[in-house]
Amino acid sequence: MLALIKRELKLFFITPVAYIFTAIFIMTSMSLTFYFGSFFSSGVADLTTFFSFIPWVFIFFIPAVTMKSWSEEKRLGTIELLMTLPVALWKVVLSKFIATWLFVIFSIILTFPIWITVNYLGDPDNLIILGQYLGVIIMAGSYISLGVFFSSLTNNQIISFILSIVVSFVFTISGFPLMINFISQVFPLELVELVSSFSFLTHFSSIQTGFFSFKGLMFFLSFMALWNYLTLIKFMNKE
Amino acid sequence: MLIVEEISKKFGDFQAIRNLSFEVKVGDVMGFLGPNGAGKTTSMRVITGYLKADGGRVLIDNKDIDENPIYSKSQIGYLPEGVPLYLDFSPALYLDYVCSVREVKNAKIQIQKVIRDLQLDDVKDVPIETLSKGFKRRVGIAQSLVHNPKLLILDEPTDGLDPLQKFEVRKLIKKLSKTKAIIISTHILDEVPEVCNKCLIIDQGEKKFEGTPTMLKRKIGKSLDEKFRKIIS
Repeated sequence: MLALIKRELKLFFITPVAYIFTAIFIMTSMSLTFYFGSFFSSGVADLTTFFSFIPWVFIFFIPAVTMKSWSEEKRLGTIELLMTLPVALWKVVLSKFIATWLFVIFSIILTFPIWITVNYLGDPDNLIILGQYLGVIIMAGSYISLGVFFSSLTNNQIISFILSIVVSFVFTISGFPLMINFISQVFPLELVELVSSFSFLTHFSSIQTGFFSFKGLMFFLSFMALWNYLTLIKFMNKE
Repeated sequence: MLIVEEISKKFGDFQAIRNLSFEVKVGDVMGFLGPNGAGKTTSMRVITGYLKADGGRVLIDNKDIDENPIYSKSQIGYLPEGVPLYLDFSPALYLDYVCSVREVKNAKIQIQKVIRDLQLDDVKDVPIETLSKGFKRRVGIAQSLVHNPKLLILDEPTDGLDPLQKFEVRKLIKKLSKTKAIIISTHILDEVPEVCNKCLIIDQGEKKFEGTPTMLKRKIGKSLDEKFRKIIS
């Protein structure tokens, strides 16, 4: 499995695409923080503004990374080579997810200059920032797991990209007042609560304080397990 | 080495293979013939475990591939139709990856051996994307051989090669056949008597002929092309 993960990572870094993606991710998250987040004028030495934009950047950034994961293998036919290797199917599925996650973690870590900046300008609570970074990493895994699943459905990268964006968006905002008001007009209260309990933002807000809630952690871990399982089922059914 | 028993495969209403049975032993090179859409590629995909048959079973080393998928796959070297490859990789990097996934012992020596056998030395560090069709096919054959499998399944291995390369690949197949069971699908009928000691013709998923190339020729007494046309018409 390690060899599969290494190959996936090599596929990312062998072309300039990975570096371009990372650069765009860093530039977008930074510019949102500085221009729209009033990073300096807020006068508070923490990264809450920065982290509050991250889910919105992820909605576009992560589907762009995951869209080729399975789609490209299907388009090139290399999926046939991959599936005839003497490796258990779950390992193949998981290795794609883990490699993509590692790549996104690499991009997240490269936003460290903003952490240096707040430490230079003020005296932030670095433990909280560490917790926030870990939270963002866990949340990224959830976006990736669904992106990888949608990539397994089609050999067309654009379709996989769009589907992932739409579903990521729905899961992100399902706890938003606008969304809740809308569905509460149509559906019973129990269903509204259920939908809002699936919101990334609801769970992410607890992470933003820097303290993991057990519920939030379990939510993201189960979410990842579910989508990876769906990807696995997708390929088991293909047989 | 390989026993195929009554396998069938359906895609929706389309019956791709119907009760197909045959056997390949170590030392055999079986030419797998049939018109386009006859079920050759589907049969190969079932044998390699890429597709699951609806009925029947495939045994490799007397072990059912459905019950021992990892073992079976470790015994097979496979060149799929169209030679899919990771185009951004170089041949050397790609073979190195195949060896590490397949946990090949003495990987460096094995890689050097296939690179030498398939004359890939000059291009081993060049991205596969930039290689000619012939070189790509040779990289595809190299990846199927690098783990020294007992069963080799090659879907049109000489397609796109120049006459000299074809000669070299055929020579290599003959050499390999001493220690392996080999199945090659081909459209080039002249290739059959040259490299194969067995041949199997299928059409519409059904077996139409099984025997030696000499038997095939003797049965009609005309050229293989004529015989082939007669069998599938």
